Amino acid sequence: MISEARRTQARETSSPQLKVLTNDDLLTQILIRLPILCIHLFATVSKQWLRIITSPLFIKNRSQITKVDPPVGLFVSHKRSLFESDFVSLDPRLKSKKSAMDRSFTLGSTEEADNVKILQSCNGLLLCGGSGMPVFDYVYNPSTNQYKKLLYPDCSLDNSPYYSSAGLRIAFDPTKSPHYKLVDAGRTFCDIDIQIYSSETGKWSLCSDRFNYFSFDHFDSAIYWNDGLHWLETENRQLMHYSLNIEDPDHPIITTIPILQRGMTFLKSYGYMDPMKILIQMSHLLHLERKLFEWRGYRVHTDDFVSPSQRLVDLVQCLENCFGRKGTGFVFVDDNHDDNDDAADDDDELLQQFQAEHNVYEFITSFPSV
Amino acid sequence: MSSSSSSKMIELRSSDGETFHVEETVVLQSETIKQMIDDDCANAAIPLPNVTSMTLAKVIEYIKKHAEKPKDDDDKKVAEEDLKKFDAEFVKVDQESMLFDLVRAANYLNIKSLLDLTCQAVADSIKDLSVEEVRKKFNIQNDFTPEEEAKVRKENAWAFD
Repeated sequence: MISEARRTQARETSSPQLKVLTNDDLLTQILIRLPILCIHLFATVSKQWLRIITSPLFIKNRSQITKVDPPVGLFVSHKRSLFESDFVSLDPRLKSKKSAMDRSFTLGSTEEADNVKILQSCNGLLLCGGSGMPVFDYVYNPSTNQYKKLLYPDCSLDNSPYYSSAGLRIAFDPTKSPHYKLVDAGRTFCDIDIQIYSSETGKWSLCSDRFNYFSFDHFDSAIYWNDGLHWLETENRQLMHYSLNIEDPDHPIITTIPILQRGMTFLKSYGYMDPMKILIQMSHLLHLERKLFEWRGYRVHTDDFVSPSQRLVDLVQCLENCFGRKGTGFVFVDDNHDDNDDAADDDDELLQQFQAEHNVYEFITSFPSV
Repeated sequence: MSSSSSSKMIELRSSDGETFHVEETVVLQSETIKQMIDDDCANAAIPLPNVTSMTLAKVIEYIKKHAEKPKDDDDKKVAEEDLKKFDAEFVKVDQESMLFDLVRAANYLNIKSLLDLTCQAVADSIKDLSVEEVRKKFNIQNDFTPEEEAKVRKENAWAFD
């Protein structure tokens, strides 16, 4: 139990607020429940707050709170130069920065990992690709400014001379584990081999199952949600939602769900796919499946759909303000309606066009280190 | 464990001398009181010198609600939803000082779920504020010199500042 005895006398006549806030143990209990961004900012409130926030015990205890903070900002990388990323703040206390990483995106403070592009954003961690030779990929935690250079999966496990990667993706859900996984889909002569890296063991392992070569064309745009990596493929003009469940890393399970006609026209009208569009398309799907927006960190019930939609509207406006012009090809679906016959007519109104020239990666603060 | 009229009643006395009678099964949510009962110190009224009658009444309202046991699985879901709503309403107090009194009472009585709930409510009340607003809200003196504050700001800089 937390001791209350200290300084009790002096506080006898003070307000309940003061009694709580002058007690380090109780103040810790409160601060530990704040989003990471606030913890960062509030270190300058007073010396007491700084002492608490920077203590090793606090950091350890905070990392055990399994909660995904709301996004604090977006990294926007320019399609013309993938190595440039702007930071668009979604929090009024943080400044947005155009080409925030002015020498292009640099991880940490060393030159070693400069000129990188963002490949994927996953609940607070970024998967980044380098530009130098030899090419290295990195996992980067922007809330701690730490990064890790990745070890590559062992190609020699497979004797095929045709080995190449169909895509590397990261899977991280701080509500389930402080460790992340990396999933590499390797092309062999006629199959796909899956290798999964666990940050817990620091090792890659090859799955014994083989997968269909043509199912992984767009694996490099897969997003992680609910123990699975999700992406879209077109097969015989039919749009398919692929999901690779990696809950058991030794036996990933692949499932396919055909997407309704509506989804197909939706995609046709907007041409190629980019990660965010998949995200958005996926949210639509997930909503249809009544599976909510959970993957975004918005743990809301479908009945409360007004607010995340509003959030997306804010996001669109935010980006438009930032770049001052509109483009096409970037779409989101407002899910705030039921899946009935009238809905198809509403879709045109609900679809909103967006910036064409940018990839957008959401950044959610998280505590675990890389 | 089914609570019935035969359940033993425990008497609690607040700092201002008011007494409350609560079923033992309910009051066991407080680790502090559980310890007293286990140590056989609960034969007379238990004095709670750190908790006022107003706060204690709120605490009892909370533990009574949380002691309700659902009958079956269907009932369990409904009960969980109901409890969530209750918790959300419970921390909407008129006076902010009551919330802080509840934090202290939950800590003193060692009721973990209530400490979680009330500390989260306090955290939620400041999570959108600026540093200056936090200081003002809680009347906290900025004890940094401008140089020190600038140094802390720099060391704790958000990666994109």
